[in-house]
Amino acid sequence: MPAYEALKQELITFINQPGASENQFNDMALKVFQFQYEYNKPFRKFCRKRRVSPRTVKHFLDIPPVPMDAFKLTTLSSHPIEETEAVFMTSGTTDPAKRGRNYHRDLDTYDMSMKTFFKKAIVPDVEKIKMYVLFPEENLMPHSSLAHYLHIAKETFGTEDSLYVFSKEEFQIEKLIEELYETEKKEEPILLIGATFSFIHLLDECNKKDLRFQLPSKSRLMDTGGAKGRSREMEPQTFKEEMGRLFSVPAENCINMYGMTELSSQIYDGNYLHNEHDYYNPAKYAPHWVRTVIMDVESMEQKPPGERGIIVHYDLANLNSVMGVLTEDAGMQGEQGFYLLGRAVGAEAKGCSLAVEQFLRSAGQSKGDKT
Amino acid sequence: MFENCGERAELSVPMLTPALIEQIMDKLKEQQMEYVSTLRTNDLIEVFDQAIERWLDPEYELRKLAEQFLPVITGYDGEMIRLFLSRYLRQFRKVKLMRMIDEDFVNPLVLDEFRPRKSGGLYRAYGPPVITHIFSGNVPALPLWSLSAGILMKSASLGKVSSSEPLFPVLFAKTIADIDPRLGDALAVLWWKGGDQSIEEASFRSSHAVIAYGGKETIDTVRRKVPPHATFHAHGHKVSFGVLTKECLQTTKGWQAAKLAAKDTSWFDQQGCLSPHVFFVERGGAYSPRDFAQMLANEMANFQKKHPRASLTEEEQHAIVKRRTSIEFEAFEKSSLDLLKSDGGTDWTVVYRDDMENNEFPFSPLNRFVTVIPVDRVDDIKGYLHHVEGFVQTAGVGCAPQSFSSIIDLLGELGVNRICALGSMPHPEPGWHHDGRFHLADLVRYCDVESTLEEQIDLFDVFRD
Repeated sequence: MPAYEALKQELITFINQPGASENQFNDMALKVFQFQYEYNKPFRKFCRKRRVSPRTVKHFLDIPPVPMDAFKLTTLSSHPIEETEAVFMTSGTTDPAKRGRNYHRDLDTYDMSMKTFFKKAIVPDVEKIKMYVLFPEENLMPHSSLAHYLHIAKETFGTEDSLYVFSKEEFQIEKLIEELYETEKKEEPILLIGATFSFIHLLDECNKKDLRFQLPSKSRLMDTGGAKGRSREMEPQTFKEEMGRLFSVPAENCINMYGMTELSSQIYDGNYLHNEHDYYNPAKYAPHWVRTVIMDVESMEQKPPGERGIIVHYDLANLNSVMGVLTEDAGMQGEQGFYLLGRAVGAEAKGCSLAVEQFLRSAGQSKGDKT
Repeated sequence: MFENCGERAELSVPMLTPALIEQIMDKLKEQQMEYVSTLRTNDLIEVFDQAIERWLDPEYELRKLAEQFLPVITGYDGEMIRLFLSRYLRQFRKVKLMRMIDEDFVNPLVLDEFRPRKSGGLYRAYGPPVITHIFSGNVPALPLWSLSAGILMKSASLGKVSSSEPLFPVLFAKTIADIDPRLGDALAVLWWKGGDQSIEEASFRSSHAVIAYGGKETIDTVRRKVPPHATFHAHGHKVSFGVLTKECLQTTKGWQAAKLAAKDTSWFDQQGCLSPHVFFVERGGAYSPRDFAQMLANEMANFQKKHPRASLTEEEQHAIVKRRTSIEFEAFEKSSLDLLKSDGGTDWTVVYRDDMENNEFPFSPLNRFVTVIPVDRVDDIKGYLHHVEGFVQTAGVGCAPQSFSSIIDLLGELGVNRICALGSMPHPEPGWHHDGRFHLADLVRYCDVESTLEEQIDLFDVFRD
């Protein structure tokens, strides 16, 4: 599809243009929208229902964002799925019908997007860094966008001796602890990178054994994904305090990545990206090819800064699916960047009859499937 | 602290301790024994009726207070609350209260004295001396049902208000106290955080009956705490639905039926157990069930203009958005599914669904979200109700005289507790068997005096010849 190839090249050029203006973003967004409207059938129907078409859209905010659930319910792809190189699926359930799927024609823009912003957000000051990856390798989880992301991170920015501390599904805590003791003796900084719940498991294990580490200066850690029911829950601030204490790493060097399977770009704490001073509760920043807006879910209008609303991302790198994604996260626009305020789901209506459904559901759920 | 539509209300509640609750319970018990139990049922009806008369006066100070603050507290449309209060309070007028009693007691005088039984001997009914009520807050003024039961049964009542509507029970108790201060002393309306172990234990320990409204969790936790000497009366969560036969969809009647159905759905934003989740519509009328869904959508929009829905929490909004999304994307693939919805918000939603998988009951996320399901024959609804067996409350029916008998037979067998006309779903009549039980008779204990004694006393009569 020549239209796709040309658009992709244009987008890659755009990603390489850090000084792009608001107008340039908008122009690029309208092109991506035109493409997706034309080739992504369910998305076109979604737009038509809302009387939105490339003729009517003048600003990217006119493009209706697609609710995250749609990634579970339909195939949001601008190419036949046989022609897609990768499909990333959300985790949490084994039932494929209940997993969100993001189809990628190829991973060129994904990888480009990932590398460009990772560099700025995590390793702006070093060429390569020794990484310990607290997550399984990509070949073990072919449908995990995080596994792919970490693979690219390690390949691109990791030193030769970087390594995974996961074998299959198992987190090798003992091995990591040994490695960390070795690291203490050297002056080379390291990057601990992986799932939030792995960090929490490590913390609990070290607390049990009363272990602490003195990592070399400039060492840092990046966590992502939250506890997801796989470890105890921790507030981001507590997480950073505890991690700082465990590794003797300043809070400035503890960075959270906010990403989702439904997107092709990532968003990070602004510690290295901007002049964020509150390292325990920094604003999050998207790259210049993504716009994150806070909306009122009722009226779908933008909320003023400082007010709580639902987070919507317009990610140009999400070329093959849809650029506008209505998340289930609550957030608030800051002066620059935005703040994540938790999940907005778990609807507990005040009505009395709703609970009957919950009751019947739980009674019928024999295996305790989580969705 | 409550805030809605730019207005604020702040309510203060006393801090409770188990010791304080014990004092209150002692006082209630004493007041019941020394005063309330000596009254006759008609005296109590009289007081209650006077209270209702005051409340029906739009100029009554407490009513004005309620009309001012209930919209702020609950978020419901002020006009809807005003209309509801009038209509609802009229259900508790003298004649209605008398009917409530007559419904449950063949001879209401048994509540006041020993009366002869037809089979011989005498009997009398005693209400529980002290009742603890756990009120729910989804619909304002709803606690009046159980509060009135307590008063008519000559009980003292401790009412625990819900944090989502703590105002009305307090105001009404105040009216009773103004009319009869000694009766007022047998009423305490309080708030504590639901589930507070020590407070609930203290209160239940001194109660003879506990009446609780709420979700399964609330009911289960309360049930566990009720001591064996007290009876427990639970009103848990229920669902309701509507049924329309093809006769309702004749050319002249269709719109009327849609309007009534919209009213049933929109009233109190579908928060009551009496609110429909779904309308089953029979095929074969002049309008098809699909037409009906469209007509219902129009009427939902009209109702919204007249009585706007409450503003929702983020979670509630999201529940609707999520449900709409899944239906919308499903509808792209299927012609058997329609999503009709308000523009620019979540105000109302009508789903038409001709392909319900496994005949599932289409639960609504509430707040004016309803499904229309076509059926070939009314009998077909059996399959859908199978899933909610034991949880069905009300069926709103639209039918012609020709199908009346067969429909009520069918619904009764399916476990429905209450069958009413379309458009009347939110307004049960006095004396209704809430959740299929006796409203008052379930509370009392009887004392039988057998004929053996009645006959034998003559044997020991000192004046016997």
